[in-house]
Amino acid sequence: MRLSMYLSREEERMLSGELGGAVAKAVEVLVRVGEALGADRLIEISHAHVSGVSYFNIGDFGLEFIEDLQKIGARFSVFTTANPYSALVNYGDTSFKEEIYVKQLKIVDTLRKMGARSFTCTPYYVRKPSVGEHLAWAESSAVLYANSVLGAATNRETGPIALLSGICGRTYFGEAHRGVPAEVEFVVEVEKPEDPSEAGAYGLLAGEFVGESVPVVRGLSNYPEYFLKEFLAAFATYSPTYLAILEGVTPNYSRVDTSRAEKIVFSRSEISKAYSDIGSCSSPLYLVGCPHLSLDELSYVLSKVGSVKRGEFWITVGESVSRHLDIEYVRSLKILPGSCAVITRLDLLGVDCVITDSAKALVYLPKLAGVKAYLVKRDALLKMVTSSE
Amino acid sequence: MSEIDLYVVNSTGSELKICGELLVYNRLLSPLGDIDTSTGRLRSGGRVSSKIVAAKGFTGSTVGPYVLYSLVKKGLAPRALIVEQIDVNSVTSAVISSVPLFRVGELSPLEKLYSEGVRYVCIEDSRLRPRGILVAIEGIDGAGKTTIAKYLFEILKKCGFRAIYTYEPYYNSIRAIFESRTMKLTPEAEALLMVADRYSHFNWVVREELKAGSVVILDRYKYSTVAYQGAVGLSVDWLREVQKYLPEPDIGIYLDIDPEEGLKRKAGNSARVLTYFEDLERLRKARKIYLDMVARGEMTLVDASLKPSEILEKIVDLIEEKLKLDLRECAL
Repeated sequence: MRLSMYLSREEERMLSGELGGAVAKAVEVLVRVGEALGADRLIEISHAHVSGVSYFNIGDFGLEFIEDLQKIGARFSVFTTANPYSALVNYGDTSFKEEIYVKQLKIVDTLRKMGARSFTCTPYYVRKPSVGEHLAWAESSAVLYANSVLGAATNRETGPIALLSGICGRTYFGEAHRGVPAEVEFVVEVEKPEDPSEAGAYGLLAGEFVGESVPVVRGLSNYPEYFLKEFLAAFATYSPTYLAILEGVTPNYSRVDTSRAEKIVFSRSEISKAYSDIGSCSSPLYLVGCPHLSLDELSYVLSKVGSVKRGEFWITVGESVSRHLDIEYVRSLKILPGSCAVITRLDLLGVDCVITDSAKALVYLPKLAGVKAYLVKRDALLKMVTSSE
Repeated sequence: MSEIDLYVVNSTGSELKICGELLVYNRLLSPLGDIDTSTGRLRSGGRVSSKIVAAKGFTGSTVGPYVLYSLVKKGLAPRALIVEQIDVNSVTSAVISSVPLFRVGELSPLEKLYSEGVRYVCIEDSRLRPRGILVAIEGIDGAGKTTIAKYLFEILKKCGFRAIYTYEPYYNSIRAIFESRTMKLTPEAEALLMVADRYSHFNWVVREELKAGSVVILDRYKYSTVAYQGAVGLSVDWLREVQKYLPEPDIGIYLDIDPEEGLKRKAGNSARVLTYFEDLERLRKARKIYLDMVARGEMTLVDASLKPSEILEKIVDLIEEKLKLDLRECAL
């Protein structure tokens, strides 16, 4: 193999197979990918986060890739978390074919055997990285959160790359690892979101507007973290970039030169378009937890929902969060730890439409879950769930 | 002749020389949405398996790289990928699946080649060039060579391939010498005249078409001289020796027929009769030499007593198998 990338002595040893076939394969792939993308070296990481866990997404071939690695002795050498799996629950009396359960559990089981600690799309609730820490995360909303809120550094990895990074503890030294850029092309200002769903609606507008460019975002400096989470998750659905510099939030935000940037202001009237009439959704599934709720959010939601009066209410959270709760199982209220409804083929369960407070879910539910989706504010959703009307 | 420069992005060692059928997808390829992993076919039509697939670039999700990996596992992978834009998806796909990946400055020259019917190409030294295909149809008189060669030509045209049909002896001046009998010919002189015709024909007609990327269908080639002049007693080794600078065809087909049956067919066809050769005993000897060449692996025997459609089916299968061309579906 002809390589031009600089490797440390340790990495040379890994590549030569001294630490086993899986590590060698992982380093080889990272070097090849890094070189192709212009990186001149690898960088050690402290936390990998794997995406591509849902059987509906990765299918038999993804399962095979993971199993092949496990067969040659792959183990995660650094702290590794993974994205949620599909929601393996009934809807009413409908359930999935057995094959789907078996294959999905096989994926989860194989990743656990390799050392995956927890399944969630919010790995920062499991282990919060510190400023400047190098990561290899593949879930787009988590990538944006790590870089923009926590000031950590991660490429926006693809699923297999994060998996291999967890095995060898390295990723390629891409742009994200160089810190905040010196200058930006756009400054995006948002006008007072009143709840997390509105922050998400602004995220969609901002992400679509800036495209591949890293922007500075104004107007989110005095908000709880879950507003930022919803904004960034939605932002990442439309923008392929790895960072949105949040004024007053992102460490070192003040070093960025915005003097030549184009400024755009999104006002409250513009986000109202995201909230369409839910009149045609007569028998909905209610969903919160995209991205997964924090413990505080979950406590809040549960305090507002006594009993579910209409339809089913699903709450998706990380496994680590659900561990803190003494959950009483209620037929229509489902707290789904480690699961994601958006990457679950809800149409196969007979779901027709979903009412959610997540702007990210609003975009992805029709594409990935095969159902119509409607956005409402969080408190409004909780009121709908509990009212008998 | 058009050569296109490529840049190696993912090298697997096998890219030193890669030949295969070109497929140009003039958009961004979203592996999950655009490729059926159970068949290796594009949802918009055509197969990616065994081909050199050129696209604008890759798009789509985390899942994309697993699609190519799966195709490799199933033996349905492309031979190489060429993209105009490099991104993390195309690179990850190629690397985890060990498929050679190249970047090209612009896709449009490839699109042009493809639209001109150039299908078979080779990548060598980071350069892509059209690589024509030489198909030789051989057999004794009455085997049906001309009929089959012309049908094959029609099929290839229908499938979008740049193709030509040509025959030997090619030059009228050479034919005239045989037919006028003003020059007294020895068997050696006959052989050398045939070979002279063939070298010139190959150099001025066939080679140019091959360079441009055509499928050249030859109605008789160097094996005819070996068989026919060998049948009148010339040394087969000498007949090979004087033709050693002519390349082997990619596909050599010997249409086998019983000489009597061949002569019977020929009697009903007065066109292009070189009466001189049509002597049963000589045809028997020629057939024997042809069968020897088949036994040596120089040509593939196809039973010429079959119906033309059956013969063509066998030839199409042979081309598919040997060169991995995607022909059967559009041809038959």
